[in-house]
Amino acid sequence: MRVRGTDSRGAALWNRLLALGLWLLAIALAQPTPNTPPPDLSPRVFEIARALRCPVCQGESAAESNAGIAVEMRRIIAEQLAEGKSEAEIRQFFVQRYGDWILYEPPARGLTLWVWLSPLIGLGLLSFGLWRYLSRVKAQAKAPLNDVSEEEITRLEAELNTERSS
Amino acid sequence: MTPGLLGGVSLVAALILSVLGLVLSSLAFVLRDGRYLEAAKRLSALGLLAAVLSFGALEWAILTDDFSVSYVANHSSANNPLWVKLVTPWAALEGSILLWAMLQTAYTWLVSLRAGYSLDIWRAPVALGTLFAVQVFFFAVMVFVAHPFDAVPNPPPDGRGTNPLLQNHWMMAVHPVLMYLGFVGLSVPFAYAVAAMVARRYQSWIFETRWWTLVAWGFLTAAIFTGKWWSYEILGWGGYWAWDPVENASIIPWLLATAFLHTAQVQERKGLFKGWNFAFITLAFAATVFGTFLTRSGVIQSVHAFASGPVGAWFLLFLLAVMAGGLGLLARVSSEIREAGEVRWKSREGALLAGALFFGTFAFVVVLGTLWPLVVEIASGAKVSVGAPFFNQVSIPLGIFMLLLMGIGPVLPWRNSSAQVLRNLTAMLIALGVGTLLGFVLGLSLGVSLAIGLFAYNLTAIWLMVAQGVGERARSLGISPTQALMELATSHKRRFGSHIVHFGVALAALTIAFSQTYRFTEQKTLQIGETWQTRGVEVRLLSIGARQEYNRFAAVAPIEVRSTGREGWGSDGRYETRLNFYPQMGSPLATPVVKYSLYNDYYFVLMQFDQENGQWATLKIIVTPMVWWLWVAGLIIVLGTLYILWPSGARVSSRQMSPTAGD
Repeated sequence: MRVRGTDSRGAALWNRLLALGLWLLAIALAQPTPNTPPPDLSPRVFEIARALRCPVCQGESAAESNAGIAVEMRRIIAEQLAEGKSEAEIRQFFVQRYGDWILYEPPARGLTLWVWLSPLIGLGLLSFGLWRYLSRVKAQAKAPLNDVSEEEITRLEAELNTERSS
Repeated sequence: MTPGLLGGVSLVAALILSVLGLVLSSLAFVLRDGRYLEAAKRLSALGLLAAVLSFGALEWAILTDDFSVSYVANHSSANNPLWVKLVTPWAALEGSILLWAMLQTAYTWLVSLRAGYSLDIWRAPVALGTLFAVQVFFFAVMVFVAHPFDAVPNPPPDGRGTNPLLQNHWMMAVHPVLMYLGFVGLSVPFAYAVAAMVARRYQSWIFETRWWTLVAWGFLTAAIFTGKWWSYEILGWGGYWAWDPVENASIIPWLLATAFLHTAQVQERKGLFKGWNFAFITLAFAATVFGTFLTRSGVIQSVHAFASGPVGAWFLLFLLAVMAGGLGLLARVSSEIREAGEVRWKSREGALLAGALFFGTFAFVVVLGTLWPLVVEIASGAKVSVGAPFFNQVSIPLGIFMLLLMGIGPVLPWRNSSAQVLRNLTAMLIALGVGTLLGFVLGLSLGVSLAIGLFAYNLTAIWLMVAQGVGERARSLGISPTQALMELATSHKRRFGSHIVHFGVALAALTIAFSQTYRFTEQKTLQIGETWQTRGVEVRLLSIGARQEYNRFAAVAPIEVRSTGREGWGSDGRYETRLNFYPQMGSPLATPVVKYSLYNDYYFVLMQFDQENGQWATLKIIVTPMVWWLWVAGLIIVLGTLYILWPSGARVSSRQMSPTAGD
């Protein structure tokens, strides 16, 4: 990962990350319930955590889940906020460890750009379909009114026949 | 006789009856012989009987703790309280499919009662055949892959228990049933549409199915709101909608059914848009199957996916069959469908079509957003997430347009607009501006201010329409305004009911804007006796205790809450926050305490506690404005729907078609 600041600070951070990784692994494997109170969390922590996926959960964000790893993520966010990091930096921290997958909001580039364009695409496709449909209707309206299609005649004949036979 | 035997036998009987029903309907269609149709009608009643027996057998097995039945051994427990046992049939996959199939047989039977009467003999065999085919699918899935009554060779002394998330709230007793009633209900208009396309009668089915569609829509709406409520009160995160795949699976059919409800009116009144209505109803019904495929196949993981299993491939095939059947027929007949005129954009039909365009777009966005992670993974191997922040952002502009159209549509007349209409629109726009400004003056965010403006705008629209209708009636009939209002409400039930529903939707939009923008969450560890000042309240931890309950163990931490400011109004009281431990679950399940008030909801969750000395507890507080009003809005929408559906005393026989609206 990219390390900011002086070397010693970077190394300290690196060591802490390593320890943290082991800790997260231990939690994910065993899910112990340590008898120490979790840290107090400010509203800001939850706002940031809400945009992050809880990696071991099924469709829950890091703000909602009670899984050990989500609890730990909230703790990391609180710590980094206390260190004065910005929301973008904290997000970046998690993206570097887990990839874009951790973000519930897909980045507006590459393949996920299409999702952001989907409202325009959907509206465009449907409007185009509607426009074609309406222009067909217009053409139909101009056609002579006594135009009875062949299918309609066969259908009517078939129905008359069944009525007679049944 | 054992419940397992009865259930298994009646399940096979139901499958055979469905196959026979399908064969007889086909014979009635091919040979044009009414006797086969009569026989198929009788089979539908027998099919319902067999399905009810099978479902009853499952209830019987659960109530008598018969653990030789696999479903009971896997999903029930002798210690469950009675109400949990009663709702256990839909707590997991096999039972849910059985419930779904049983409801399907009930709908088929109801439709069969009309066959030969309003449903003429050219279409009845096709409509019934389509419904029988759907039944064949569900019973075949149960008989061959997801059998609820598989025998367990060595029955365990007790079952594995029901999913704790489901037993934690009574709402789980109603929500799934409502959802299935809605899903299955959409099969009826679909079957009528298929019959209409096969018999080449493109207009009359719209009149005959409007009741059915509205019934299904009402159930879907009620199901979505009860689901939100359950999510809010149980999942403990203070939200009610997470854009999770299962939630998306329920909103997609709802969006498409809503689009269909609106465009169906255009066809009803003007004989327009016939081809699109066939497509919309096919897609709406297909979306119910798609949702089930998504959440039951394990392709997409979700917090609500209580029931998963090996049925994914079956549902995928069924989905393809529904799409191919409906859209294939449409492709075959589309060239001969005749529209009865042209669309005038500056009229009600224009607004209805534009509204349907947005509902369709919204459905498209939700489908794409839900599937996109899968597409990206297949295309590039990368993992991405598309979640709530994305859906929330894209639904804001779509929602604004829909709310604008919701106000305009009913105000515009079917024909060209008049001076009166222009005055009404001006008044609505003024309300929009004033409401938005009011929000700004109160220091609210842009989105919330706009939501207030849109609420005022829609309220004005409804008020103007009702007031003008009452005024005209009172003048022309020479009666008092109250009498005129009663007269208007009873003689124009659909229009009046739609005003009620639209009011509910406007209110729901307002509450969603408030609650999504101003949710506040904080977490703190308290020692016993310590107080915590936050968001208008003072919270004091009173004690920590433990309790053994019927099938769970609970840690409880009572708290005392006192409001200290205007924000905390109505939150005073003593509450018992708790964590429930279920033997079948590794981690405890928090049951939040929710204190509703007219403005802010206070929501307390026990997160952790001192397991050694019982000295401290960690509490989470969530404050969300106006959630109570969201439930009110849901109730208004459902009551409005009921109002339209409620049979009136002097029922006018089905409206005469205008001469231009023929087939």
